[in-house]
Amino acid sequence: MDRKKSNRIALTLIQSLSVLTILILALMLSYLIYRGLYSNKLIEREVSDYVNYDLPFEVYSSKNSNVDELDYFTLRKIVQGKIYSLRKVSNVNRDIKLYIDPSLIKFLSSYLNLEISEFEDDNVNILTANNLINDKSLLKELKRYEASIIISEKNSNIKGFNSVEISDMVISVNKDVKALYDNKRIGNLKNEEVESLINDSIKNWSELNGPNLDVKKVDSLDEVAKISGAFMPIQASLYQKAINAQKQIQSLQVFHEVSTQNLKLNYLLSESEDEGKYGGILSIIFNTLVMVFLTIIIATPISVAGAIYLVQYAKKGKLTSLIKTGIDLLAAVPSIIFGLFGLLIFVQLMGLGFSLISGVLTVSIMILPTILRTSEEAIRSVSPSLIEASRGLGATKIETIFKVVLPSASRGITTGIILAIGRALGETAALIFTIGSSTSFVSGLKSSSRVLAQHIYLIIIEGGSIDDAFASALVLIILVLLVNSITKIIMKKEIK
Amino acid sequence: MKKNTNNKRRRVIEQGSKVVLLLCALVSITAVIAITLYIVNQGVPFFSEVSFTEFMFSLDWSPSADIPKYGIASFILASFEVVLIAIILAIPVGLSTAIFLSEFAKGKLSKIVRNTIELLAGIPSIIYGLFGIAIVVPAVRNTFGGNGYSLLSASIILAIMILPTIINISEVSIRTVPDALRHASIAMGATKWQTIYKVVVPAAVKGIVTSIILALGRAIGETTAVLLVGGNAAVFAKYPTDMGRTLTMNIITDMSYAEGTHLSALFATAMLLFIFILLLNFIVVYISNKSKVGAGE
Amino acid sequence: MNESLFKVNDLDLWYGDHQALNKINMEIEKNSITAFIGPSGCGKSTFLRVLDRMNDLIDSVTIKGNVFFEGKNIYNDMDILELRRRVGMVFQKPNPFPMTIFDNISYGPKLYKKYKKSELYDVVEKSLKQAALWEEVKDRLHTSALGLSGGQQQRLCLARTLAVNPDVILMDEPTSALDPISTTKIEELMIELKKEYTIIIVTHNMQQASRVSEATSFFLIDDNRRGYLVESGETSEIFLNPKDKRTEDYISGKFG
Repeated sequence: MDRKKSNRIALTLIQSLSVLTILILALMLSYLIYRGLYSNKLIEREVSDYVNYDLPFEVYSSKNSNVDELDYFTLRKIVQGKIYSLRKVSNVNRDIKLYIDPSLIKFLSSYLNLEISEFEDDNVNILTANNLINDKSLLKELKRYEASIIISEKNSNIKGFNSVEISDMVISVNKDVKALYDNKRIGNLKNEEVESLINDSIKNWSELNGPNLDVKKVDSLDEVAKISGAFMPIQASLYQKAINAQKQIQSLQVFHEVSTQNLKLNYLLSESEDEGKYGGILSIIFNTLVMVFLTIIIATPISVAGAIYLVQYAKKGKLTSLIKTGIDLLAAVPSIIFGLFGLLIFVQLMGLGFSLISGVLTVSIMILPTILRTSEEAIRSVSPSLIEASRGLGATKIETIFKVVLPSASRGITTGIILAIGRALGETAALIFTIGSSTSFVSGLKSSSRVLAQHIYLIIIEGGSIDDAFASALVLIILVLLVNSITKIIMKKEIK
Repeated sequence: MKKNTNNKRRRVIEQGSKVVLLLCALVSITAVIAITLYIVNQGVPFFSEVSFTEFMFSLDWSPSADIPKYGIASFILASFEVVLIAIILAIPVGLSTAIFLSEFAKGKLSKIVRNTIELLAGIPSIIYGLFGIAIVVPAVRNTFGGNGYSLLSASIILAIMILPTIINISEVSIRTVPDALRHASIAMGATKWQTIYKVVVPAAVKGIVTSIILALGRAIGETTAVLLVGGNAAVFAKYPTDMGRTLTMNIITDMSYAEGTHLSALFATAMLLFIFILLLNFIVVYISNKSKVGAGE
Repeated sequence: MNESLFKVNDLDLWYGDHQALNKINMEIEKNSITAFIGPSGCGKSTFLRVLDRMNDLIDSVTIKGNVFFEGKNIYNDMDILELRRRVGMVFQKPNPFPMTIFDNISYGPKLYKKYKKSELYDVVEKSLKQAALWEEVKDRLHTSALGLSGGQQQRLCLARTLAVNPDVILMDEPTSALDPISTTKIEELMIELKKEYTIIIVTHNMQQASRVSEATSFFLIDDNRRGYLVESGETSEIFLNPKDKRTEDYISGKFG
């Protein structure tokens, strides 16, 4: 029957659209968890991803340095002293402590194309691996420090550090390959493209968005300089030498994917540095918890009291409708308006400045309706017979409320409180104009402070590391999910 | 003697408590009035310097120019565009889910959907913004070109954010449609779907419309999520795929450095937004009261 | 004796684990009015709902036995939508849709085919006349049905059912929520309608049963709380000369 068919189609459609909500949530959560745990950056550099396993030395880095791979040119700059902090390398805000085994200096000087005198710089510490391993206190210090780099003899097997791989293969090309043609130029290569190039699968540079030249793999840099369209994969060291000798060669830039673990325990436990650009979020998490705690302390008594009034005392009339309308309206005000209000009243008018207390007071007003509505429901559903029993024994109304009604409604009220916690945790717009932005541990009610959600916002706005944003977001999501689950557990108990 | 003073004390506490409770109950409405007063107080002086028509209808917003211009028409249009598209996207999914939850209430699937909606409602807006940057913006970029930061991206994120509002309130109104009506329809040989769209949904339409209006209010007041994906270009956005700036984005962006007339302009914007949302809620209250009076002739 | 329209063989019904109906056997004649009587809770309404498969709306219901409508098994041989069109139901509490009177009546017919405006008006007029409501509402067809009185609403529901042209009208205590005058009106309607339709009515009111019906079935509940059919027969027989003592006791008011 035609009607039955359209019935089935319509009902299936409804079901599918509902399932879409699950898919959306699943997509969001899984992506946030993935990005929070793993960071995937694409950077461009001169060397390809081929790791050189034949070097006569090993490089180690401390576990919290986020360094597990270095390219030739970065290593060179580190030894030179041109890169002195891991900031730009792995987003760790520490100056590099470099230790080199003396026996390697000669090789490194030739390999890195540096004068031996550059190894005698202040930033380079000379120490053999054995001496290092034997100096337990120094070793311990280097392990703990977030930016230690050790270059030692092969097979020195220093425990407790990351092994750092060195990539040093450069694709040197003839200058015609990188020339401008039709207002375009060959761009960065992906690693698959490098591989295809090396195993002769690419015949013409135009296949790689380059100029219309035949690809010619050659064996010497002289040929690279002379023959149009020539290329040669070569060790960076030799390439650098040739550049120093003014050979007419160029190199192709390659995309390099950096995949590291993002959110680490270290991030959670270390303090913020440089106003949130580097370091961890321990202080921010602490501030968030303090803010939420204070907000709840202030908002709960007022909300519960209001709920009690509405259920137990309010009579039908203008006053009661006014109160109810007030609650509904308050619940509908967007957070940015609360932020502005907080700015005007608490920060400016009451002179509390950009501080924890200003933020707390602002958010307290915001969550009033949340706690009030749930408490109202809970108080309303207390069995009237309980109340009658208490009054029958001579208790006053207020005594009955505190001794009988509230305890009976406590589960529902708690649910409301936890819901409010969830709201307060995620609040940004209301706090931006009230709570300040300092990343240190909050030291008093009047100190400027920053909370987690706001921190994520500031990272993005101020152009900080997106990975940090996602790591913090993951922490926030976990807190929210926790709050959510606790609510469910309490509600389940209530039904039982 | 002692017993009497004890009871007297109890009665005094009783009276005093009543006053305290009343005061607490009045905090909400006091706060609303205070907010209104203060925002209006900051916003109104602006109109002594700039005319209302120029403010509302001029597309030119350039507070830092030699002759500063404070026209927020582009932002008003952007806010409405974003909210409108969000609602159009959210209604099919929201209404279907509401119908699904109330008409097909059994089973694991509906439990999962319900939990999903609760979770979606609890996720902070900043995280929606982050998700928008990471997934929605590239998707829009790949489909429509440009750089992806656009009013459309903002609409998509907003649509997801307002789903819980639409679903929860619509579901309640669908549920409250008496079973007797469903039975009457089925007994005449109507299919389930015919019963739903011919009888149940029309009977619940007031609640559904309320949910949409409330969702509208939520959406137009959203700040952080739209800020992150909307592009924040202070000009008129011709197409949804252009970058744009909503009223809320304008307030939060300029607030950190504005002063003088510029600052008042922002408060005037906030005032406008606030009044509009209050109006929406009054409409909702009016609709709810109308249906309570009864559907007589 | 008219031909048999419904034939029920050994019908059992369970709500989950609890058996609610036990071995019901019955035949309903065409163009008759049959009354189901018996004390509260003995399954009369439940059994009534078997006849148009309204019990299917409840998940936990299981059925054993056979029900035949015009010789076809209503569970295996008939399309359920068609069954429900041909076997209509009027409920205990009037349940008009929150729409206009016109829309209420035309709801049913529009499910089945497309009508021209004029055709719809004809259908609405005919149904309302059959339900003896036309004169009272003909000038306000496009006002809300909820503005009618209880008795008018019930007649509206009847008209609504009639609009789809059923063969059978099931009525589940149709007048228990109405005043005496409306009740009388509906009873008169029933007698008029049976010329064209077959009517089955569940009622608590024995006087009503004896007034309107030709056949009566008396239900009771056994020790295991299962409803069962005590006896069935011509109304005059059941009331004046019942075969079973329990029937006699119930009729004479000794219990129930």
